[in-house]
Amino acid sequence: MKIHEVVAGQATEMTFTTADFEYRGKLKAEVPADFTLPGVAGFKLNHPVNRPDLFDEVISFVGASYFRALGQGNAYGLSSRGLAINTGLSKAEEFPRFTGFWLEKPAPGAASTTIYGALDSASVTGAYRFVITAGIETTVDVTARLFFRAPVDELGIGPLTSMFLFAAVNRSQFDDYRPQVHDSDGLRIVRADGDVIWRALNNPKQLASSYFAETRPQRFGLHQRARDFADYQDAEAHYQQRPSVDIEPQGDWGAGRIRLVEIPSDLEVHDNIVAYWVPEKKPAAGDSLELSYRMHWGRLELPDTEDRAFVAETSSGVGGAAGLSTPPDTRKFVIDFKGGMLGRLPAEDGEVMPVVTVTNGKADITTLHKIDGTDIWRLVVDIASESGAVCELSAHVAGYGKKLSEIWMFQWVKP
Amino acid sequence: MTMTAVVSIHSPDGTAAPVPDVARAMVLGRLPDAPTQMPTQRLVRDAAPVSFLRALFFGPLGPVGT
Repeated sequence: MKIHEVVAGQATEMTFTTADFEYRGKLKAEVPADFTLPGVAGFKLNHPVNRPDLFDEVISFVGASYFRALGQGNAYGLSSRGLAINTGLSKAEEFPRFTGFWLEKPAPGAASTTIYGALDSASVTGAYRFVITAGIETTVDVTARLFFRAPVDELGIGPLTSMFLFAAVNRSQFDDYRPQVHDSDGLRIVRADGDVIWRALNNPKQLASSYFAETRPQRFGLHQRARDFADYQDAEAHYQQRPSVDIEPQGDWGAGRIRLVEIPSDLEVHDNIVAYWVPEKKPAAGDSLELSYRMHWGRLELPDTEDRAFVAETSSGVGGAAGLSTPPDTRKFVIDFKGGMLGRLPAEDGEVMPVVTVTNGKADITTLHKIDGTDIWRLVVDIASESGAVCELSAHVAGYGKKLSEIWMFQWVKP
Repeated sequence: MTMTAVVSIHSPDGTAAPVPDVARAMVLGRLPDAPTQMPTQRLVRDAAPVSFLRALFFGPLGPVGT
C-alpha cells in the first residue's frame, strides 16, 4: 500500500527504502541498501497511553482491511476489518483491502489524529475516515463511504474477528492446564430499548451462525469479561489483557441483523469468531452507502452503578444432581449474574424469579439462588432435548416488574 | 473442506425463532477451502482514480445516511 502524509490539506507520498527497516539473518546480506520500496504492508501509530514518557502502540493497520487497537493496559487480541463481504456463505468470501492511506499530521499535543483509507475489492470501492483518540478506552470514529460495482449477498459493517477456544462452558473438550483460552467470551448487544443481550460464545462442533434482528441498536461488540490472570493461567498470552470492542452506531442505521459466526476450532492460533452488522437492504451494483460508527477499544468493564446484573460466568456440564446417577439426554447450564440492583437484594427476596426459554428442548430443572457472601445470583438449568436438535437458550432474572439482569443466550446442539 | 452449519434466527422481540429453510440454505453446503486465507484474486482495474478519492477524502463529509 501507499502511505501519504497530509499537511495543511496537501498530500505527499511517503517513500520508504530498505534503510527504514531492519533485516536479520541472511536477508541482511541479500537486501540492497537504500532500495526504494514500491509500498509497505501497513503502519502503526504510537501515543502515550500507559505512561507519559512512553509512546505505546495504539493502533495498527496491516493486511487486507484488517486493523486493531489498544486501550490502557491492553495487549493485542481481537481485530476489526474495514468491511466484510459474503462471510460464511456458500460461496467464497471476498476480502477488500486498503490500498492507500492518507495520514493527517497531528499538531503537537493533539488528542486525536485523523487518517483516511482507500478500500478496494472486486465488488466495492470505498473511502474511509478514521479519527483515533487514544486513552483508557481508545476510540476510533469511522466514517465509510462505499460504492458498489457489483451486488453483494451479505455486507458486514463493523466486522470484528476474534478467538474463542474454550472456557467453563466447553472446558471438558480440551486437555489443557489452562482454565480458559479466548480473546473474547461474549457478544454483547445493547438493544434500542436498553435491554442487554449477552450471548456467551461457543466453539461449536459444527459451523454455527446466529442472526439477531435489531433496529437501531445502541451498541454491539465482542467482550472479554474474565479479567484475572487466574482465569487463564497463561503467563505468555495474558488473555486477561485482551481488549473488548464495542461498535456504537452513529446516526440511524435502521433495521438489520447482527450476525455471529462461530467456526469449529482446535487451536488458539485460529480466529474462529466473527460478528458484524448486516443492513437490511442488500446493495446492488451502482449503489452507494455511507455509515458512521464509533469503536470503543479497552477493558470496557461495567461500572458499579449499572442497574442490571451482568453475566459473569457461563458453565456447563452433565445434567442431574451431583453424586447421583446421570439422567440421559440432559445438560446442565450454570449462569452467574453479578452486581446491579439484583446483587444488592437479600437471598430470601421473594420477588426475584428466573425467566428461561428453550427452543427445541425443555428446561427440566431450574433453580435460582444467591451465593452466600457475594453479589452473585446463580441460575442452574437442566436442558433436555433430542439428539441433533439445535436448542436456543435464553435466560434472565426478573423482579419488581422489570428485568434485573442481562439476557443470557446460548446456542446448544444436543450431541 | 465440506461442512454443514447450524443457524439460529432471533426475531426482533428477542426470542429465538424456528430456523427457516431459506436461512439454512444460505450457509449449508460447501464452504470455500481455507476461508480465512487472504485472497489471491486479481483486483479490478477500474478502481476509483486518485482525483476521485481525493475529492471524497478532502471534501466535506455529509450527514450519515446520504
